[in-house]
Amino acid sequence: MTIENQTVNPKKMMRYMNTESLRAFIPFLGLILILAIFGIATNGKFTSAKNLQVILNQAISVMIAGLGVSFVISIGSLDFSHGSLVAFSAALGALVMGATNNPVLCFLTIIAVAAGTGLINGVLFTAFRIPSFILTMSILFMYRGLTIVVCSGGTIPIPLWMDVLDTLEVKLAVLVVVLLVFNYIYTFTKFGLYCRSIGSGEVAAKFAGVPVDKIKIMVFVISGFLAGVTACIMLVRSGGVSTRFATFLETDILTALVLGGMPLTGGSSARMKSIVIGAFMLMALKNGLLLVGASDKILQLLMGVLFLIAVAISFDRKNIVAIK
Amino acid sequence: MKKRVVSSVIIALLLSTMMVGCAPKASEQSSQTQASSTAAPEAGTAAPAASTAAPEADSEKTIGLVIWGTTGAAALQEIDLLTKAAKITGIKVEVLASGYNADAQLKDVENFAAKGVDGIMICNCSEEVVAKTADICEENKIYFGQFHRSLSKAEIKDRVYSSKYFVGNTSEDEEGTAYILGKTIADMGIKNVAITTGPHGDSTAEGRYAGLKKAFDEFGVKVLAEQWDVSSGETAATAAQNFISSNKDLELIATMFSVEAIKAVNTTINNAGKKGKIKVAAQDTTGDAAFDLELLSSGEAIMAGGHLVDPLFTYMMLVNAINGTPLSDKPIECRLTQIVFTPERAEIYFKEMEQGNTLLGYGDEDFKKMFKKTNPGFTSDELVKMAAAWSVEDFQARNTK
Amino acid sequence: MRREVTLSCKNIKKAFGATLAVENVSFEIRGGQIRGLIGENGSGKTTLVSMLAGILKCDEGSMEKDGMQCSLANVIDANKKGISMIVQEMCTIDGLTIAQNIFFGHEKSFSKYGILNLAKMNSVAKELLEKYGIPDVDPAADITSLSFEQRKLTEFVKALYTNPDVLIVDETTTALSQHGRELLFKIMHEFKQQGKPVIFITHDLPELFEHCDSVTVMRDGKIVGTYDIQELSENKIKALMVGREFEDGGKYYREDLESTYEDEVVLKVEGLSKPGAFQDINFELHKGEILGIGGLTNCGMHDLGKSLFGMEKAESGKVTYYMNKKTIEVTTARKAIANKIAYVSKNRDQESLMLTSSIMDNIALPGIDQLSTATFVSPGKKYKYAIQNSKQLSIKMHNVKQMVMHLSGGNKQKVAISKWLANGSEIFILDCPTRGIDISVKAAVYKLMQEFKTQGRSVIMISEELLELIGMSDRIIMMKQGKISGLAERGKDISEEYLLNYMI
Repeated sequence: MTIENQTVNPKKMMRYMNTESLRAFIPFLGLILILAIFGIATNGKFTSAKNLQVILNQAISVMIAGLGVSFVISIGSLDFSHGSLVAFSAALGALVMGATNNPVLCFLTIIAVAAGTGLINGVLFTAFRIPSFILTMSILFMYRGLTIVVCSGGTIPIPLWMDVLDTLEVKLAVLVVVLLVFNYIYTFTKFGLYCRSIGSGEVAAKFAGVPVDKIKIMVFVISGFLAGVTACIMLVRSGGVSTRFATFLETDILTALVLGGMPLTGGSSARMKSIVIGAFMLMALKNGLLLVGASDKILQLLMGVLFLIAVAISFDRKNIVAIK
Repeated sequence: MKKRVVSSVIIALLLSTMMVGCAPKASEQSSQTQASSTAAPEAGTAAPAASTAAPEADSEKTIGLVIWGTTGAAALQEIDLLTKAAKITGIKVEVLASGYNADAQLKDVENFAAKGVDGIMICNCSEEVVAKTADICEENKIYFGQFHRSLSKAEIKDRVYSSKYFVGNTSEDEEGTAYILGKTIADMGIKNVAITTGPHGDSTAEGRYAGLKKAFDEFGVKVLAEQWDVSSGETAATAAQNFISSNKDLELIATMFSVEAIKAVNTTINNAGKKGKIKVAAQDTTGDAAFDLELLSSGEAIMAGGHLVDPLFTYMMLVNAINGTPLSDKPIECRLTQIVFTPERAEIYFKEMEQGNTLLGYGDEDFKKMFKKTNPGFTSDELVKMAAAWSVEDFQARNTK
Repeated sequence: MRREVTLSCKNIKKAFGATLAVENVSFEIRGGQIRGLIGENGSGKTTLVSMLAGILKCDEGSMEKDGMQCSLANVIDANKKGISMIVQEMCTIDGLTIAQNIFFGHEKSFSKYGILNLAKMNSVAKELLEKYGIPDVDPAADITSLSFEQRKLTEFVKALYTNPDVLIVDETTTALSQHGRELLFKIMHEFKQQGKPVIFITHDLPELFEHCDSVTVMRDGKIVGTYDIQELSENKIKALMVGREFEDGGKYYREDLESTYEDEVVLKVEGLSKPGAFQDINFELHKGEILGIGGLTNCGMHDLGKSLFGMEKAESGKVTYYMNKKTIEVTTARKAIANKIAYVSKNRDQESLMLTSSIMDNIALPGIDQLSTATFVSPGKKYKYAIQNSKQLSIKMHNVKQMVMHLSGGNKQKVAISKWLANGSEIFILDCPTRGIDISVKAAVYKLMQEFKTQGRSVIMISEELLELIGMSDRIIMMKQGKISGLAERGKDISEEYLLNYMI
């Protein structure tokens, strides 16, 4: 009779715990390092409250949109459509604003368009089993095309007075509400448990009674909804929509997620806090490098290198499941 | 458990620094240092000590340049000119080009402000960006101005012009020059042309197109085809190929946006075997002086340009304002006329006024003249006159000494 | 041309994780003979021949061919060394032509300086196909243009064209028509005449007797013995397959010898059919009963289990549950779970457990509705829920937040079962519940099943292990090729041979 099969190998346990907690810790460490290094290098200017405000302001769009993507990642998929989705929604919103001069209608339009696209994504994903990466990339290209068509006459402006909404207080309030609500959903509700379960073992989740297809659709709607919120914020900030509105947002989101330690294969180790830390780190890096006088070409190079390092560290090679 | 405690502490610190940042904007510098020293324990005593040195006391003043890109010939030439001017004025120029969209440009402005520059000059992608820039600069007490751009929307113009930190802008009469270019083309007897220009909504692209079209309509030149949003070599080459293959009677391609497009179009024409048969027109120079000269002398190209000195004027507006000796208490509007090159003008221009990365149109003497520290009597009117006078003839006049 | 070829292996061992598939096996075959290899599911015979054919590597032990040490890197290497195998499943590759399939892995013999001579490949393929009785086929056609049987025959060609010295046939005959089988036997006998050995795995005893010279019997990963065909009879083989000794069996199965269950029917299955899996299934499950369902791997019982749980839709027939005075037709897994029906899959890592989730999350998932109050699921509540329910089966773990994938097979199964206990399930459908787990956990599972009986819970136990079925069931349903072939009541007379008769 062999009893050793029942006890857990303690040595293996220690090793596993160390790499797991190390991975979770690295974003924090990275953040402290960034604050420290740039803080010293700029004689405290980097860590001044004013500068941190600037960084936060720039990070908020990525945080909110990235929160939606975090949900998609937690079910083991990917949403790569945000840049164009935000642009197109904002474009339609600006048009509505121009036609009705009603900001509420404008924002509602934006969120409806974005969430609606999320719904379409979800349905296509579950009904036709198109891999999420390909599906959302197609949306990325299509919607950018649509945006160019809509904006072909130039920038679609919104009235100047809407500028008053573009304050850090308002954005921070929105961020906090969004964070609280969606973190609650992810951590403390059965919906959140369902998401993590699908990401961790979709078949087993189905066998345990999780309505997998329904949850997947809802996740994409969430991603779309938050993209819409982001579009509202970015529209107010930019004062109008041009063909190049929000380009590379999806790339920024992905970089931020990786920097923040989000495992791209999702599952139960996905955490909502990754995007918050990651987005802040991303903007802090750009800001910090400028403050110390690095040229923007070095910036690009550095971002690329950091991305690779972050992926290498956070990628859990043992639990690789292809992104569905 | 320990790990939990440490992570909670760090999150708390992160949040608190963010919250501190949201305190009323008139926060003293001492509160800033408190937040920074707790957030970066390794910084030790360095942070508090350094913060007592207020940034305004720095002797090094800087101006932030927000431009469309840093890899094209035009950008490099302009930056080089400003660098030379900086040697005289002592105020350095830093460059950011995060992208040609509103969000990216605003980020650049914000980051410059956070860094603590003394002035910002921007080639804005949309007029709304300038409105936002005004907000940011007022909050941070930074002087700002535009180059290669002006404002046309009433609401925005009111807002920006009313800011006491707005020094003014420099721009070219794109439409006017394009009109002259168009007329020149018509005078050459050319009847069939194709046009490429930049994106809709871009004032340069729109202005140049409008001027050309007006001249063509007036003087009976037929526009066989046109392509918008051509702002790179590749798109220009593709457009040119399409033009050539679908229009047998084509005599000239006017590529009115992007410096790279000029060479690309020229190469495409040559490859199609139409060298000399189809001409090129542009409102920029390529930066390759030898190339430009050859093309202009042989008559293969008709160009207008020489507006790369534009930023210099805005720069001088800023520099004088920063030093506490502004040229005017109202925004200054400088207008440049672009040079329409005849073979004679081309000869002088490319041999003596533009070579590679260096613009020789203005030299140290001129810089000293525009700088109030070395020339206390300089006025805004004189600046405007200087800009308006810019031409090959003016250059010759200034340099025959 | 006659040549004595010998193949032997010594002290071979192969384990998959915690399961020992082949243990200390020494095997020898000499010269021209057809050696039958027979054993129950899980006896290790497929694992053994996989190692002989180069598909798997042995953990310990050595192999010899013609007196020389021989170690195989992979299947192609085995082919080169003269060993070929034809398997039971489809082994041709879609998207390639017939010729490409035949010469798969051996393309080098048709290429010069890296360029493949397709014409030559095709013409050689044509010759071979005709030689082996598959004329009128264009070797340049895609393999998918052939019928199932023709594709199998192509595999013959592939296995044979290298003129191997040893041929291994793994349960291939079940998939073939009469013509195919005759062709195969013809080939096997040719080998014998050439002095080359053939290893023939089959469940079909008449076939075994007709063609084999000797038979090796395996059980539980070990070789029971090798016998001349004259020494054997069908009954004797069956007895050897299941073994006389019960070993530890008696200690952990039920001790009573009578079926004990209530009259109340909790599940009624009528005319259930799913083409390709099972047909016309009719039975009833009573309260407090352990109903065993047994058969060979492909008899359809595993799909049946899934259909009963609502995971796979049957095409016709009815599945009706009678619980708490309600009549319930279960159409989805969600409905089943809500009605306190549980399903433990035989495919543990894929269908029972979310490996990268914590033990806590796995246990809490089916019963999550009980834990949430107005959308809020208190982590404290979830934690306590998990701890309580892991105690019942004494899951050995570091803490409930640990990832399931780090547990041993036995503990994983405990988690898989615990989550249903936690949900308060009344009817349990267990598919191979003790597969791949060690003896002490097995005992715990059996003990649990007995407790269920006294608690009035009902169990359907689908299993490929005869001893288990006999040891634990009140009644046993035997299935063969998708249909119910027999029904037995618990009693002294039920033996493995009795059951096997209905299953094979």
